[in-house]
Amino acid sequence: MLLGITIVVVVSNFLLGFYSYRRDRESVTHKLLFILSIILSLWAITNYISVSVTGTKALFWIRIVMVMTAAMFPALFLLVKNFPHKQLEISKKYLYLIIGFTIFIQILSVTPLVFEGVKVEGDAVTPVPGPAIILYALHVFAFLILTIYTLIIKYKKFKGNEKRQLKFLIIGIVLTFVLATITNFVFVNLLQVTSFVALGPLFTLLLVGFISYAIVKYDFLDIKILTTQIMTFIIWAALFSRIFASETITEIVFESVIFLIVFAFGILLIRSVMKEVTQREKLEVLTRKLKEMDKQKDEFISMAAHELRAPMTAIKGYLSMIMEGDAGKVPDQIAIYLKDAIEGNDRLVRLVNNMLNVGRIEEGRMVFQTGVVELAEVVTTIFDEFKTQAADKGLEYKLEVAKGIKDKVEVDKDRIHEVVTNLLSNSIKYTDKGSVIVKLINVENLVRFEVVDTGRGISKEEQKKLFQKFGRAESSSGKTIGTGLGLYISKLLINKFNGKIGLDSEPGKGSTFWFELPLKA
Amino acid sequence: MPDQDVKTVQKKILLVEDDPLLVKMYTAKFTKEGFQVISAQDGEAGLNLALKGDVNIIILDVMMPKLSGIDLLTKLRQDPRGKDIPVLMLTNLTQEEEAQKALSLGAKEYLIKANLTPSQVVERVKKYIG
Repeated sequence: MLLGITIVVVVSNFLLGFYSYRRDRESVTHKLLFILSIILSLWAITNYISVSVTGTKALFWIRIVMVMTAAMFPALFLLVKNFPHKQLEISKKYLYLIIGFTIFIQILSVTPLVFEGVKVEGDAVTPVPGPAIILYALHVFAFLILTIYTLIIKYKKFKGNEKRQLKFLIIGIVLTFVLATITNFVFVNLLQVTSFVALGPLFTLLLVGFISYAIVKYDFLDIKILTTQIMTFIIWAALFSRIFASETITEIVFESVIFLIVFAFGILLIRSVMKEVTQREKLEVLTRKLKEMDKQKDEFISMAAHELRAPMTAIKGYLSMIMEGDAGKVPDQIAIYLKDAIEGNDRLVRLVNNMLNVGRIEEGRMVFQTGVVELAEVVTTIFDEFKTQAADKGLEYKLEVAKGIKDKVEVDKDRIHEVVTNLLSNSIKYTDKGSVIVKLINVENLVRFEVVDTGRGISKEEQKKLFQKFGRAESSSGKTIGTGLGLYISKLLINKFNGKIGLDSEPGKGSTFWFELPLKA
Repeated sequence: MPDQDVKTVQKKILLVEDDPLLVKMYTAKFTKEGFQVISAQDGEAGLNLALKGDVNIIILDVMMPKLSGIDLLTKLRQDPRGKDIPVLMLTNLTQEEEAQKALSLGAKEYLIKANLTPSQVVERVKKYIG
């Protein structure tokens, strides 16, 4: 069983290290992990041998284990120092110094200076420390301290993704070395207990596993595949070996069947993990693309709207100046045409404003100049602006402001102007005959604005769409009008002002667009 | 001896705007309304005129070559000659940061050109200089 563990650990460590190295052969960090994983594998092997033999052979192998351990800590320190960079982070001078000193300690380990001999008590073989054991211990702990120190500094310095990687590294190291030091050093030297030495290698799997995960940052999903493969392989090997451990035919058949079943499921498992990983990667790529496109769309809309405003300003300006008589008296027929041109341009301006504002309101970038506004005044002004339009369509057009109306609200005057204009212009646009009545009333401690029209009415499905971004409805002639931003923006704005907006309508029975706002105390 | 006629002194508007089409339009309107208009098409020239001439009000665009409207305003306020001149920002940009900055530098209002007719701009001007 111990042999089994050792084999598994050696193979896995080596594979993980090799796999990580293959990911990036140029990277110092990857190379160091590979070297560390080789050292750990050698350590696992020699560790096993050292507990499997007796007498003087045991002494020899215990010393070899010490050689391996002596290399482990510097290797780990170097790995941590360079993590996660591709270039060497320390000068060659220090590198050679570290290697030189390590080799010195390793040479010492083979002599009686570190371990004098062994005490054999029945089955247990306990090494007897020599004078240089102190030096050895210092070497090990020095590099351990250096490693910890480097980790602390890096932990403070790193941010974001690098920090996440570092956390994994730290967890792996702490876990492994604490456990391994306890079983292989503390128990052995302080408590004279060697029975746990064999477990040491298992912990290295923890270490290499965590570090691989930490390094192979963007490819950690691949590690998932690899781990699945390793685990499955281990289980296969274990079950396969049981076939050979069987004593009766019945057992052999039984173990073989189990092995075959698990083998089949193993294949399925690996396949399915691979599929999940590739799909997840595709999803991430698509999501990134989508976010990028969304950002570009918003940027384009903003830019287009800005560019459009300059010529629109000129058109608006000159038309209004002509209308005001700055260029001379305006003949009636020209005035009529001019008025329509002005109206068309104003719609254009509102449209462009909506395009510009929608992104800003949604993302909270819009700054509101809130103040106390008398709603009746705003409503009356806008009502008057649309008088001629309503008259042209032959609609009955009335404004009903409740007597003694309380209408002081805390809003951004320009924005509420926008909302009222939007609702009123919509009604007039979509009503071809009948009436458009504007009402302002008090409902409890709210003020309620309504536009009641006799248009074609709107079905429940369309109602849901209307207040959504880009949601539109059909006019009675079957054409869809507008970009669908007006009502959406109105909803965003009214909600911002702690009000409610809505629509009551039935096909064939006209519509009532309304909003309510809390009164300023 | 100079005439003792009571002549109303024409108020002088400084228009700093880089689009010649709009300069022409606003100048025509302001002149018609009885104001004297001087204009500059970039920020640097605008600042010079602001500090030199005795203008009563400055109408300032934000996006301009050489010196932006906000930078012009900052420099203007640092000069004792320009500290107190009323300023109206007239622009087609809706950047909030710009608006806040302008208002904090003492601009009276931050107006969007495309939303106002020249007459409406004149109304605002009259609000501040009569």
